[in-house]
Amino acid sequence: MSPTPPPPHVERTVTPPSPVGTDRTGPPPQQPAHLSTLRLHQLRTGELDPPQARAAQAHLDACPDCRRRMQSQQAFRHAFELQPPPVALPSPSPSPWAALSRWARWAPLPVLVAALALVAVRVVPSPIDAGPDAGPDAGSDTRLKGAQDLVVLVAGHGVLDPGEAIHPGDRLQLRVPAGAWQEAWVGDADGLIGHFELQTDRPTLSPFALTVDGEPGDEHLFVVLSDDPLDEEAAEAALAGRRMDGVSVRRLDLDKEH
Amino acid sequence: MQSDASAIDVAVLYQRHGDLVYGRCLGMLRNEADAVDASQEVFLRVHRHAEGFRGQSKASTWLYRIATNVCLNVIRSRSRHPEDPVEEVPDLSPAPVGDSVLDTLALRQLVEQLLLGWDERTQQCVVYHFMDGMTHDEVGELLGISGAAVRKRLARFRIESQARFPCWSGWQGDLSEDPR
Repeated sequence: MSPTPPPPHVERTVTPPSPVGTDRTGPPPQQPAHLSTLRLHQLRTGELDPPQARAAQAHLDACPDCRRRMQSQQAFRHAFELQPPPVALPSPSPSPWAALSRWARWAPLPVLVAALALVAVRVVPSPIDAGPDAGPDAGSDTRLKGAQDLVVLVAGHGVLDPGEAIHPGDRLQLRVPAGAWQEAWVGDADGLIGHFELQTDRPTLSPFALTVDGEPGDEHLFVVLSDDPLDEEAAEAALAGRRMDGVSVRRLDLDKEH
Repeated sequence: MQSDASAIDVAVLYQRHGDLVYGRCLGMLRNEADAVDASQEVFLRVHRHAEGFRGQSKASTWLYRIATNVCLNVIRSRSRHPEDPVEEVPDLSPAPVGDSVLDTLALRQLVEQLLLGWDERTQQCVVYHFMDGMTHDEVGELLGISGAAVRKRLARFRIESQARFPCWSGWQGDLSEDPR
């Protein structure tokens, strides 16, 4: 497991202050010398109106510096996504990861956890059997480490590849591919952990992180994917093995090394 | 299990713009711990005032403004407590949204110095214009004032700053017109 990746390298120039755009040999007034940081972000996230987006994109196409800054933003975004927000599962204390993850500091803030995670983290006893044959559709839907469609991301490490193990203190996020599903519920051997809505046009990253505890044995996560909004009771029923139209249960078996 | 609308909004905002907020805080505060705290404060404010967001301008603009104000508060607080040294982490500062010129450490340090003693609105104008590279009109739109008003504030700021910090003499004339 590698430590938190450094932020994207950005060339720094320690020179006397020189406001951007003040080069008198540059473009005429009202023609942006460079796109602002906010404007780049808005272009990247599709927030600009069509005319604004066209203008910004035209500038970007013609400005190597802004393209480099855009790349830097994208790299930072990627690194940011690998630093998940709140913790949803107990973590051994002290966690070696806690010293590395900036977001570990968010964990003690219940209101923010509730707000950001979309879920009230609540462990509900359920009849899930964590054994190898447990869970509905265990045969056809069993996936190891999210192979094929579900992806497990480890903070500071990236995608968990087949054959890789997780470790106590690791913080995991799920990435669900774009598709017909509208909602995902996540559970483990103790029951439901949380749920989140899915984007149908792009992959969705779980808005909460799961911290691997120090208990012996491998981890087994279950992901209930639903074509339609699914309430908690129905999700629990799906985890318990009840078959429902438009609902699929995936199982993730994660090897844990201590 | 339920989640109210404001919670959903905050989660969506965080997912989409969390990097912008954190990058902003890191860039202005140059300290990772402070940036985390400030980011947290931003989303707490958003959570408390989620209703105020709907129907307004771009979500990122709204968040950026809140983040800027939170960071300015931190900077002002630092100035009142100079006995608490800030452990700067230059390598982590605003690299995330990397500007090679706008975000130079020297510029940020100088701006931070200059911000002390100015009214909040002028501070905001300075940050958005000189650190973020926004035009007067963009700053005005962000703050809800005219581009001309922004220009006047920056011009006054420039004149007084040059008197206090001769190294800014290179700015002479730069602010009399929108450089963009």
